[in-house]
Amino acid sequence: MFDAALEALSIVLDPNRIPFMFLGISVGLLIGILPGLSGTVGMAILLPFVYGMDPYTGMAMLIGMAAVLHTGDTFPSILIGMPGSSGSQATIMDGYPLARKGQAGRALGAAFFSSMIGGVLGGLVLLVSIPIAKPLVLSFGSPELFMLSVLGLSMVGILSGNTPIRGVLVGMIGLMLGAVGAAPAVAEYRYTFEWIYLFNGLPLAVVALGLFAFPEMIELLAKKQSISKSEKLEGGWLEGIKDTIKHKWLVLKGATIGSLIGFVPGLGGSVVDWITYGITKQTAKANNNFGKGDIRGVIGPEGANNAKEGGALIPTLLFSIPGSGTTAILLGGLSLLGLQAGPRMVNEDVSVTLSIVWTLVLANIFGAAACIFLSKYISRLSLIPATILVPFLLVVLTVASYQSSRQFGDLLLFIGIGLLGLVMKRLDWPRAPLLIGFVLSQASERYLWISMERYGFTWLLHPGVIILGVIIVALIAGGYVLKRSTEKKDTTETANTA
Amino acid sequence: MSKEVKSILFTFFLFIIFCYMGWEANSFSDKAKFFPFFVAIGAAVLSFVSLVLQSIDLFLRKQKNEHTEDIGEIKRVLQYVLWVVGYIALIYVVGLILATILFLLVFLLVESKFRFVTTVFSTVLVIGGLFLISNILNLYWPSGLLGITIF
Repeated sequence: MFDAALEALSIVLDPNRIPFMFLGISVGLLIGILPGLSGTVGMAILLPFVYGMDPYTGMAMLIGMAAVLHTGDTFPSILIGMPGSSGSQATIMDGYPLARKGQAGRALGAAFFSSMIGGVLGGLVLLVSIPIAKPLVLSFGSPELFMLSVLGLSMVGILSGNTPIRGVLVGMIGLMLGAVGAAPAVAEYRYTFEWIYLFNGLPLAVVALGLFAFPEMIELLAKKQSISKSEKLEGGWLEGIKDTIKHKWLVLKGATIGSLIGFVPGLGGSVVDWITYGITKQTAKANNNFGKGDIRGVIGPEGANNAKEGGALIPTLLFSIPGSGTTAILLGGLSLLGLQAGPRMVNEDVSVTLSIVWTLVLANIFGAAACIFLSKYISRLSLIPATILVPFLLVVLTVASYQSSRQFGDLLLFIGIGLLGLVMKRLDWPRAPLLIGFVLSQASERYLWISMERYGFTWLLHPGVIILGVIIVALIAGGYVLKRSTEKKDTTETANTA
Repeated sequence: MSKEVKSILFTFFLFIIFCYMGWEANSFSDKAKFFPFFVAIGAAVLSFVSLVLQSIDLFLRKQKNEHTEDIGEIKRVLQYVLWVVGYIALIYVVGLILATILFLLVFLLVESKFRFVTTVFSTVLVIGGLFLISNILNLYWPSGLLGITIF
């Protein structure tokens, strides 16, 4: 195995192949930086170019793109408060407040460095899991997938701060918005009002952009501010890297969660960062500053979203089960390169699989290095006054929203969800739970229905379900106890000081 | 109107929406109904509870502090919302490229207080960028009711 890994490394580092990996990395970073565009778009752009390439070169290009997508998407999430892609939604929670404090460079440095470590660890997980992946993947049936959705939904309470009822209510709005369109269990359309645009459901990118970007733009304009409230940028990328090293266990935790959830097909990568953010907040000591600009809220999810890519490749390469649109197109790319996903990838074509692992590792290192270099310049965006920055941003957002389904409904939805987000922001209602509810709505309904149809109520007794149930209860209870003890400690300290 | 009162009105709006969605879900077939129906009913009950709790809280706190929002800021928020809505409406009529040209020219001159030359230069730069991106990433723009397609 060691010899094969070394041989694969020499193949990846072949001077004829390296430029194609860099092409993939460049496209991945560009797609990530442009809000609203997903990995599916990047794959679709690169796919026509793999015709006639040898499998190693083609894979280096495609995997190079997928590996760094969640590194580049950090720029809009932190600097503008709008998700660059579905994998960087949770980064907004603390990344944007840090940018508002003038600490964009620090947040970006921490995000890129933890992304790099997370991505490298994700690649290693893929390498280690090759022999043991099969029983793991097969152990996840619909009941366990439903429980994972519930784990994601439990983050709603954690993200609601001091207003749990509002948080749950907002999460339910998300669940209801996710129910728009075709029902998963039967050929029937719900809440579509005979409008064809709604038949396929609401696009996640438009909902996320409307909910977060629209209110930020309007508020910045109304207050005539730049993104950064201070006139000078404090703390550079080096400080962010130091923060990441200081919280090394947090990066490891995020990467582990990312890899584990990434390899479960069908749950969708959009929820990985939320789950990691929730667990990070819930298990952190003195978590009062989360949501207001705590660097740990950036490090955790950023470590997870890059690690997820390594995990997501396990079912894709070994069992031909794509977990997302990006991996579905990757499967098509494998066919174009004359490869077939399945057990062959760990037997006859193991060198290709190992080259994918190396590409993941190298692309994450190069991608993060490029982003750290660029962050010095791009973070200055946060100093530009709103009246100058916002009109250009609005054009980018409009174009990005329209690419979701290329119907005018995308723009109407952007405005509609944007107004809802604006009202919620001005009334101090939490917005993140809506996105979690929306992302998990279809998965929750689908897996609950399959579980009930197949097992009745006996699915509740599945060992995997019980284990996940215990984890959910432990997380909620543990977080509550930790919060109470922190509050008690703060009260005691205040009393002693007085 | 204070933020608390607005919050109560917003909760009431949600209550109405959830009730409507629950009622609408009742008309779906059983397999399509179970999820939205129970979520909507649960959400309606929760929003009612929240409505009651917020009202009690408002009643108890009313004498303590009555803080209202800055009217000027609300007017500015509405003004910029109208700018965005106007831009989208313009796209619907004349298509994205022409609407973007018009929107940028007017916004940069009126709101950003750019000089005329800077405004034109910035607009040309954005349109050039859009042209480049549309060719590289194979993106499409809405052409609008008038069917004007520049590129």
